Amino acid sequence: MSFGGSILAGLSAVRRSKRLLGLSAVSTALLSLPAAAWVGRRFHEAAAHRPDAVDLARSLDLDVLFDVKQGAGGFDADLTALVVAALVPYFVLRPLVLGGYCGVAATDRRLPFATFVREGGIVYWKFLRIALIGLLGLWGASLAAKPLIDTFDGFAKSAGDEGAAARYRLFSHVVAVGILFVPRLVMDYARVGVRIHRTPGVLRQTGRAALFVVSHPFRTVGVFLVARGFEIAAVLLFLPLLRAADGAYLTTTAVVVLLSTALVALREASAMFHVAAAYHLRRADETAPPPAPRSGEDGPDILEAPLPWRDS
Amino acid sequence: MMRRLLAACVALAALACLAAALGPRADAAPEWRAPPTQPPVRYAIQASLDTIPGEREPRRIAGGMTVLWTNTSAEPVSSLWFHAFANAFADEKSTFIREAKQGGAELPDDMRFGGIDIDSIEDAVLRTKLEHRFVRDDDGNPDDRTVLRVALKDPVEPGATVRLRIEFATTLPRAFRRMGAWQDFVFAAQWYPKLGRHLGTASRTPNLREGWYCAQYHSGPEFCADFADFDVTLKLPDGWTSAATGVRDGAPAAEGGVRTETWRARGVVDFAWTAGRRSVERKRTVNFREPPADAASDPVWREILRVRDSQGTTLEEMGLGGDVEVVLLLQPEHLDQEERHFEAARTALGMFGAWFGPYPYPRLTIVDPPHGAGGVGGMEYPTLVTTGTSIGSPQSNHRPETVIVHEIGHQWFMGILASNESEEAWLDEGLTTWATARALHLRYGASLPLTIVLGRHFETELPYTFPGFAEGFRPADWLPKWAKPPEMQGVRLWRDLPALATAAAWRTRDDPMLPMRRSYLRGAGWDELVCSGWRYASGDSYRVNAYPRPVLLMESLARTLADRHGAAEGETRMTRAVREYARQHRFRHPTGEDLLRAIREHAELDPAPLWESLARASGLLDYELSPPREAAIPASSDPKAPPRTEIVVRRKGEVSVPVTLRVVRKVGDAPPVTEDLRWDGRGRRNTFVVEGKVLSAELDPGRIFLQDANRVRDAWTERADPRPAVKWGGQTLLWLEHALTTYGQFL
Repeated sequence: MSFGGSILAGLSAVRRSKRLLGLSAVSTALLSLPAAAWVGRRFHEAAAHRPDAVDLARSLDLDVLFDVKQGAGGFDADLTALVVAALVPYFVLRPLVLGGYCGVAATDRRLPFATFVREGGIVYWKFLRIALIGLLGLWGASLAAKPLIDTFDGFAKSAGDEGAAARYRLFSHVVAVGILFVPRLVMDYARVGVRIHRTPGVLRQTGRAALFVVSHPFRTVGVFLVARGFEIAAVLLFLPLLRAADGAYLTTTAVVVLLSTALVALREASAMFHVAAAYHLRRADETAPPPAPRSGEDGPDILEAPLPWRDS
Repeated sequence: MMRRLLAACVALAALACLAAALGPRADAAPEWRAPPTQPPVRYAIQASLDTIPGEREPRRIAGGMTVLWTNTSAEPVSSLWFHAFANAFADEKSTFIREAKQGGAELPDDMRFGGIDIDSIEDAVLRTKLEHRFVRDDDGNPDDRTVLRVALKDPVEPGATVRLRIEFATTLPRAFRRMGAWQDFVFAAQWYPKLGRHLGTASRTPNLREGWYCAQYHSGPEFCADFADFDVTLKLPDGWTSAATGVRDGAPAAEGGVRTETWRARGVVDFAWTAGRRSVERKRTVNFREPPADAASDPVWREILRVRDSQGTTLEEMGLGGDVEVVLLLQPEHLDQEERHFEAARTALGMFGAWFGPYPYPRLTIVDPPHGAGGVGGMEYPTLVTTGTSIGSPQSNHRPETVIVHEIGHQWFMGILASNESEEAWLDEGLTTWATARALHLRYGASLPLTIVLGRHFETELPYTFPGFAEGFRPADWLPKWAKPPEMQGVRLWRDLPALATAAAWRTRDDPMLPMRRSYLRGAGWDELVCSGWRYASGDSYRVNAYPRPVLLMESLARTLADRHGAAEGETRMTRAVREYARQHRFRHPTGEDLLRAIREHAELDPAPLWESLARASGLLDYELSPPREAAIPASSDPKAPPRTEIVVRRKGEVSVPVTLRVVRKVGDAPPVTEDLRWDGRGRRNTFVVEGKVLSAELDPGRIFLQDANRVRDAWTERADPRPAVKWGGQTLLWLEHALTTYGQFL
């Protein structure tokens, strides 16, 4: 399948799965809810009975925030614990969602929710192992990025002017983020590989996925960049909307949350787009007929080749 | 004959009356004093900026100086004490570096040390070598060589002068803090042996040695010196842009790639200079001779005219008409901020001139150091200050304006009013920070917070930072260094989406003094305000007591005046007090007691009670009120009598101040009544009982005491409003769902 074909396949998958993407975004919002409720409660204790409560809702009062953080218990530490508490189930749930995305990619039809979950469930444990390998890969990638960051930091420090120093730093950190995405790129191809072959052997699939990415760098990276571009465009589009919607009323807050969740759905769409495009790239590659030998150019039969032990 | 004599006497008396009427009134304030023409110290220095063999750029200053010191005390003096502050950068064992590192500073990876070598010291008249040794009486650090004691052959009698010749060579360190060299830029501060200040053995100033005040170089305070004249000849690489304290004397002469220039400074407490290949020079003349037609729309002129009118003076008497040549040495990448730099300088010269008297020198230089020498930024030396900015810095955050206005403020607080920073840092940094906050607020309005990620400026503050990849996994500090992920700011950009996730936080509201409150509370509660700079509990405690705490103290005094006399009259009195303090002690060495006296006499406010509570005490100030409740015992047995409500105010902190409780209450069908209830604040708690139902209550409604450690329980209204909770809970939801989505992308 061509690069363009995989893009179309990705777009088709997204078009068919609007409701599922919405559900995925809502599940993310639900996971975020405990931390949000906790922060809300802290602000309620601090600000609900103040005469300037409306002003405190309208704009960030750094002084009140300071006092909230100064209050009993460590605000930042507690919030970090709540964020981790959201991250863990998100991590556990993610293989199910990505399995569902692979299911969507594997069909041309609209996938009902039950099938989506079943698709995710079938590959759940394999995908969970892939996610764990991905975590290790992420850690390894960050270590691989370290020399790059250090080197360019050195360039930045010795650069004659601030502009050059800033460019060195920006370049190294953007490349470093790119390096962090490499495990994700490989893992997506490993997932679609598992889905295509339905065979055990996560490590083997991961290896094959890495080989596939290395063998097809332009197509795989190209599809990945299109997915990220889609995501960045969505973020830029929503920024003015969120600013416009921001206010001090319950309705404006509700609108902001809805817009934000819609944006998460779009970001999920970019993830689904990539999985679907990757699925079609990989499947097309694996189902393509082996290259036909050119007439009259058959190589010597390896079984007949002179080998050392045949000399005797 | 008698008649003629009588007539002559009458004529003389009439002339005397006329002269008294036309001349300065007996109670009129003296004019703004000019720099002293006969200071007790004079330096003549010849220095050459050279390259150390094996290095590419120059950083070694070979120098020789003649110093004349006049004994202005009433006792003979047998030793001279010098600062050799450059030795603070000789190695990591100096007191300065030790204290800086203890305070969290890290030496740059490419740190190069420096120091000052004293080759010889001799009596320039007798031509005899003098013995010298390093002393370290502040902390006993045997590795510190920043104070030099020179033993004289013969004591210097009162009124007599001694002349020394000192040969020295200073190697500038890599620009780290306050001074140094970086590539083709040098900033030479504390580069020559500088005399300490002789106060005499009878002085009550602490830490005197043989009548001299000459502290080691510490991480915090820096300045305590006599006024002096400087004649300095510098040999610099030709083609470099240079600037120094004072004014350039004559045209520089270039020969063989070396440019020789002479600088003269009169009546200053220090001398610094800078040179660099890339700096671009810009000049502009500033004066406030005549108000322009649009003065009413210009905040600087508005404030000058307010001071003129409120103090009943004239522009001539204010002395702001003189020209000041403002010289700007900018890095080329910051040329688009030229106008902002000049405007900040104009703001400082205008407002501080109106409040504290005119800037007395003809020239003021602002140096923008290159990015690798940022450590020398934000420093003040007479007529020469350093600033610091970055490409794309938005004006809403007032940077570099804050730094420029602050450092120019030091031209008054340490430069003209040469207090002892080591013993009373609050008079130096504190008053400057207070004046800076006021000037910036008047000129620029509220400052927006700023978050910088990878050189990108986001006009907002992230209320919370998750310690993930973006911060180099701080919770995983137990990992060996090789296994620890690096700090990846790019992840932060993608995870926190600063422009998006804090969309609501771009609007902030702030009293201009509230940032000081937060800064104060981060390190409050350890020390008294006044203490020798190196004896505070920590570097943080020093910073708190030098910067934000005195700001809050001064603001409490100003707001107390406003509370008692109304805003305009309170402001007038406070302005009068600080103006008189600045006028009386101009080109003198004032102490805190002088400032308090000025407030007592000219603002007619006794500062002693607040000084005791807010400066002498080392504890925290914290009051809170409990939600009002119906009083258990009614006012009368009449069932129709209106209910009574009681509000308990509790003092949680150790410090007590007068408390005002503003209550809005309603009795029956009458319209709500607002009243202020007072309590001296001394007990642990006080119960206020009021008639009727309380609709709202607020402690310290005039925000006089911003020192209060927690203000969230200082106000109460009857009706709970869920909007702040929903809003900021919603914002947290927004941030977290996007953070989860970002992390999901990496798996």
